Amino acid sequence: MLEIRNLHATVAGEEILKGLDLTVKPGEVHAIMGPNGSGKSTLTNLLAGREEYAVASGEVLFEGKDVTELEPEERAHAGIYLAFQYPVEIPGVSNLEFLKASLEATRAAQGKEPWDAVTLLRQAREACKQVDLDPQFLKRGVNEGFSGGEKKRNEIMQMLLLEPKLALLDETDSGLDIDALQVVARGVNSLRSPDRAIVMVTHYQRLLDYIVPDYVHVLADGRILKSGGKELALELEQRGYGWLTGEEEASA
Amino acid sequence: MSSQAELDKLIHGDYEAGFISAIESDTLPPGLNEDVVRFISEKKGEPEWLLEWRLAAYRRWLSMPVPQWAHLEHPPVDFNEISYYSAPKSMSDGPKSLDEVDPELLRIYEKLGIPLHEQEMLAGVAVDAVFDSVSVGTTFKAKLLEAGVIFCPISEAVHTYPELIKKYLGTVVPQGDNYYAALNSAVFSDGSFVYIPKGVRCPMELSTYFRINEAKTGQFERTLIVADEGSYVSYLEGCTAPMRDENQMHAAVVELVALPGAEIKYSTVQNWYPGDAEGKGGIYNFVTKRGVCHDDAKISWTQVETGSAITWKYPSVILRGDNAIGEFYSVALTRNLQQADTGTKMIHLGKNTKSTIISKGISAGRSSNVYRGLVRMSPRAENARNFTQCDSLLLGDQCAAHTFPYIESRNPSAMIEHEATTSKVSDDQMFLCRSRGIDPEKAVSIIVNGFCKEVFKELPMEFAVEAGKLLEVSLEGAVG
Amino acid sequence: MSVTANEPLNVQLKRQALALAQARLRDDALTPVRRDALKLLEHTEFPDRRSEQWKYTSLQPLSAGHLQREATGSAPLPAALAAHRLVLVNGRYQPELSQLPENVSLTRFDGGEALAAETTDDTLRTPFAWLNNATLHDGLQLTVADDTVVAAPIEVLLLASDTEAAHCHTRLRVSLGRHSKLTVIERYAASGPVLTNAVTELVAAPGSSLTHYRLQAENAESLHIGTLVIAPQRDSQVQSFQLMQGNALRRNDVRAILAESGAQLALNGIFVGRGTTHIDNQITVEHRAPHSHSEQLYKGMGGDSAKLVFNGRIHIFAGAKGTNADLSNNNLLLTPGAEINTKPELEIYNDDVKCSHGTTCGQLDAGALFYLRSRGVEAAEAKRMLGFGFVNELLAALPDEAVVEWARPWLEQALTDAEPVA
Repeated sequence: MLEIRNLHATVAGEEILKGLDLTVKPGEVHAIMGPNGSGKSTLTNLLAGREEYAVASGEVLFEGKDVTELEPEERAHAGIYLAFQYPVEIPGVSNLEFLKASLEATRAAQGKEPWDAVTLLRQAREACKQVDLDPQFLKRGVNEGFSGGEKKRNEIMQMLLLEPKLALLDETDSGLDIDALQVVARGVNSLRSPDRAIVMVTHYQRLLDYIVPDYVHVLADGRILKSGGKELALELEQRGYGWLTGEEEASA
Repeated sequence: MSSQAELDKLIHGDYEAGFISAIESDTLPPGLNEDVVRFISEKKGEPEWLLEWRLAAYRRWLSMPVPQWAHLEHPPVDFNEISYYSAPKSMSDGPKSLDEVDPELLRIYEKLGIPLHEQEMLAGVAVDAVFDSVSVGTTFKAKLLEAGVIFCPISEAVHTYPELIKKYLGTVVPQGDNYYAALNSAVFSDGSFVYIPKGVRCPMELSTYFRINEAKTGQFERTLIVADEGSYVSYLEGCTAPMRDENQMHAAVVELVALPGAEIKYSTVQNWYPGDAEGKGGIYNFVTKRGVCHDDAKISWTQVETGSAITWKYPSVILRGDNAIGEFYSVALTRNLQQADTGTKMIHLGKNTKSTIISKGISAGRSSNVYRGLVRMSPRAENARNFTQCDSLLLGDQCAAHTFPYIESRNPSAMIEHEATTSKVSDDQMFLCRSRGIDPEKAVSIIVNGFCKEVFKELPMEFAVEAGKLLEVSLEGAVG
Repeated sequence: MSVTANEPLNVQLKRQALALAQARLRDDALTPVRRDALKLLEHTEFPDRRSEQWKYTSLQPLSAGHLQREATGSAPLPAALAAHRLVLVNGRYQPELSQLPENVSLTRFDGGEALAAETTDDTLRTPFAWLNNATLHDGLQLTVADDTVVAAPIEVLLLASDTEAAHCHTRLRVSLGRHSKLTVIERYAASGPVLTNAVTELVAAPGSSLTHYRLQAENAESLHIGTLVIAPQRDSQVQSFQLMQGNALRRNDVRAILAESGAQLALNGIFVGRGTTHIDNQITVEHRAPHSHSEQLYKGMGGDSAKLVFNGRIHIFAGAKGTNADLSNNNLLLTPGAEINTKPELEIYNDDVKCSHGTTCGQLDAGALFYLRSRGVEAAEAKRMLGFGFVNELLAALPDEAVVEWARPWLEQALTDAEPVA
């Protein structure tokens, strides 16, 4: 589904990704871990098409097609979804209005039946329920005045409605208490299916207790240093990243 | 008829002859002098007092300098290049009712979602359509009269309700109020007159649609709304003009009188032709709108300004009575080379008076968008309150947004709060929208609509939807 | 020279200003400066109420003929606010009363040396500032060399005195070298109906840091027309604090030009008008270069028949992306009869900026007043306390204790009655 080969990428002229390789097949859940500044968020933002992140060389294939030249909305239409680490506020634009615009455009591009207003509302309420978000949030401005946890749940709620093929979760667990984490994990797990893949970027092992990955990768200094099963995460938790990056315990 | 010779004939030629040729044509050649004022008055069969009133305004106008204080740049207007009266060539050719209105006009109204055919008429909205200098028809007149509501062209009201016109005309905006109001007072051609009797809640929304059609024609309509004690009316105003290369002048005057306990809600969607991308053509819109609020009365102005090459407009409220309320909600969008200098004045004279100002300016392209406001608390405005919020949104790095709020307080118990911010559509907001599959133009329009929400919610429902659409259309191509 | 009957005041003033400038023309190194200014004066009208910048302020108090006589009175020397100080009396430098630290140099513009190019007529651009240039005879420049930190503050004391309507012109320039640091306390005092026409320029070279005070508690019958020009260069920091008491006519023109990146400016002020006094602030902050920051907080209080004016303009030029600019102006009317006119303006030609302004007008919080009174505090004292509380955040933030100690009793008295502190 996702095939990244020898990817080099720069942000404001500085090389952040330095030859990254990653293969994700349908049905798989991958966790990418790594110290701060290793390039985790760069990877997810670049995959979603953020303009500041420039591909210097290498390939990013989604379902066999190069997506590096696609606009962000084209990637969304293709089925790539990014749950943001810091979702931005859009004052005055209600969540529901926003979802309507998003779903209309995406479903049309995917050749799906458009939802009428009643269906949209029903589906949106259902999605809210799944992530324990009061449906009143649908009427409020997008992320406007939401707490950190509410913003994260709002991201998952949108994901449930958009049903992406590839979900990129950027530090979705940060800032969540254990109850909220379980709610978010439940939402994500409900999306797991044989034709869908999830890539989650995280700093902490605890998320992986609730969303159990098939593969764990360690990203440091712009490259995948080590890959393994979920037990690798436990090892990282105990030993930190130092043993991998050569700076013993420096950035645990 | 509009040749230089004819013009000279009218201006310099024999007085009587000037009239004859002009009457035959029904369209005055360009030029302004006392004879033109007399011609308009005679054409309307006005009483002597009104002619004198017009002439006094004209003489006043001649002595007034063109105001220079606005943040606007345009070549000086040659008032002798403008025609001050235009009507369909003969009564048999012209539209006698709305059914005969120019299909182009109907198409534009329909595009705005406001069908003019009676059978398609929005339920509960009565319409007066003003085409160049004359009213082409008013709907639901009979039904309104049942409730005692008068809604008719002002030229008709001069004859049918002379005492009301004489009592109120020019009481809110006097003839010599400002340069453009003086000009309007001299040459106003038509407009709407509304009277809501005591205690009556007007059974439907009233609306007027203005259209400038003729080339080189100015439109100088005059609207007068009187809401008697304890009455209520909601009035909508829409404006369009065809695309022409030359600039056209629009200098309207709107006077509102809210007697004790009355409420007037006045909404405008102004979409005059803004000129092309290079700034060629477009309407010069110099409008004086003002209302007087007596005890316990309320006047609310809501405007969505997307059109005109130049907008010079400050709908104001004089809060004369105690406990009076004034409101101003505005969205002004400028793009290409449009220039808007718009805002409001809230003059607090009475005790416990309250005003709210919410202004949202959006500048795109190489346009310039100015909020200019005045809040004045007089020494006897005990416990008066004002809250003002002025926000500017900039789209692109070549536009300009300015805020010039004048705040004057002479009463310690009066409280004024004013806030202003400037922002742009952030890259983060755009990226969030786009990563959810929304294309950039739609994303901008969603974000801008959100920015304007506080104002749109003040518009009557039908207008709110259309205002949003209008904004979307106007934003097309505004973002690179 | 005859006075025409019904000659408008602004025409009279222009005539008087030109006569004064002509009389001061003499042949020395400053002649070109005076001549240029005279030429500008000849081509400029003095303002009247139709001028937008003078909408709320009348020059009527100047009809007493201030421009026709030079102030010659003597004034007692108030206690110093700093270890080092410069003293000017009626615009004339008093070397015997002045003393500077070794690492600060003094240049006198007394005809011996030409005025450096930093002063341009364009940056001053008001008729009163040009008049100051045209009559220049004893200006002072304080210069701090590169990489020099002047530890102790320097006070510049500007005294004016006469028993009849008269004028004096003062000129001060403070010039900081690269990465230098200085605190200047500019302090005005006057007795009698004297007009002080003051021009002060602050130039902060790259990386320097200037703390500036302008304390203006002249007596109520005096007049003050002041022009302050601030030019912080790349990565420099200037903070300027103004304390103003109303008098017969106080005009405070401030123009800050942030023409280089990284410049940071904090402008704060307190202005209090009582009795029949008048204060007109015209503050302009221009952001001409990317990534410069400005913050302003002005608090005004007026009682009796005082009239206060505040016009604060933030101007963002087209190229000034990444600018942050904020202005707040909060005002209290202490009694009926007083008046405040405020206009915070934004003029913005770039989209990549963060700008905001806010202003409030009101009176002392009735609930707080009642609370104090219910605890036995007399109404007048309670009002004084609350008024003081209103501006205290600004005072409390001042880095120099000597200024705060001077300001507190001044402010308390200004809030108590209409008579100024001697």
